[in-house]
Amino acid sequence: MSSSSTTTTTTRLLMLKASDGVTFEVEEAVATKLGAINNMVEEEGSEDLICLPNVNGKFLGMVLEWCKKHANNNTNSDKGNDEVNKWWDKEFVMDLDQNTLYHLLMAADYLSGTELVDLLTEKVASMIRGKKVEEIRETFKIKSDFLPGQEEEIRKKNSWAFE
Amino acid sequence: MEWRFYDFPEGVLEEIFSWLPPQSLMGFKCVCKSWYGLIKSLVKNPVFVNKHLRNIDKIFCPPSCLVFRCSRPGYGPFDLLSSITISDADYESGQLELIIEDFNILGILGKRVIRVCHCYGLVCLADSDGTVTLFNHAIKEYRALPDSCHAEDDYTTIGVGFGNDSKANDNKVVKLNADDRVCYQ
Repeated sequence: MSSSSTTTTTTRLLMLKASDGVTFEVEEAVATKLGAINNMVEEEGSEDLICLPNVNGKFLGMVLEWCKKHANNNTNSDKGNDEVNKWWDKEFVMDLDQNTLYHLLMAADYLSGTELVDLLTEKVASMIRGKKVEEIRETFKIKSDFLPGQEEEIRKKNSWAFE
Repeated sequence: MEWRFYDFPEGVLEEIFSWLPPQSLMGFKCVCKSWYGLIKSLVKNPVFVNKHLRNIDKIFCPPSCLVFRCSRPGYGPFDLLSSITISDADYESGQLELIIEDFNILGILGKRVIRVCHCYGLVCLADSDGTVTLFNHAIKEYRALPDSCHAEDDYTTIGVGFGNDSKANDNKVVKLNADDRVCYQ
């Protein structure tokens, strides 16, 4: 008979293996904050080792740090903890450089960490809102691929957005 | 490795865009073709629109908007509308911003309207033919509604109501026609 987590009182531990071979031992309740892991656990049941070929160790570690914080706070949810969470999240994203933010967001998206994706996409949005189109292109290395005249036409139609 | 915005899959870009104020969102249509196409389709997508409304409420103090009629010499009673939006423009400093905008409805639609009502940032305009046009104040776009499914050729529109149906999570227009029959659209 296979062991079932519902009959044991000890917390089940999962082993997550990143693309570069780095492994993390995490409580099931922490790892299942991520939709992708949750699905794998439900599907595969008894499998304790989960390989994640699309995420490297550095970013998986950061994602799990976020999960750990938020899984702990779920157990005693009150208003005060909500505030603590918010502050913690703010600190978590405050000093991320663009490169880390990009890879962390890709990792969170791949692992279906919806709340973390929300936090990180809000951070990216805060970096670009109110910027000029030229600044966006320069910052993000995007080349305009409009035909001559097309861009002017769009600008004209949405002129209020450029005031 | 250099960080490039292009590398984000569409789903992630959609999430990022859902946190942008309308002005940035509409302006970013000019960045490149793929952004233009994506933003154009997102503003018509109810799932995105709801997410956007929810997110904007979370980060900005929900903007309150008042729409009222302006009377100026030479203009009819509903030709000019003015709106005052009170919004938390810079949420980090907590500064409030007051935006006053005028809309020349006669100029936009090319015809006179007889009724105006608004709800959730949408302004509902009805003209004497019974045509109803919805004007999205946040992105300055308008759209004429198709005719009602009820036969109404013989009746004149005497009133129009506009409101949000929270159960269906949609906005509804109710037209009141001359012989006391009510047409829904």
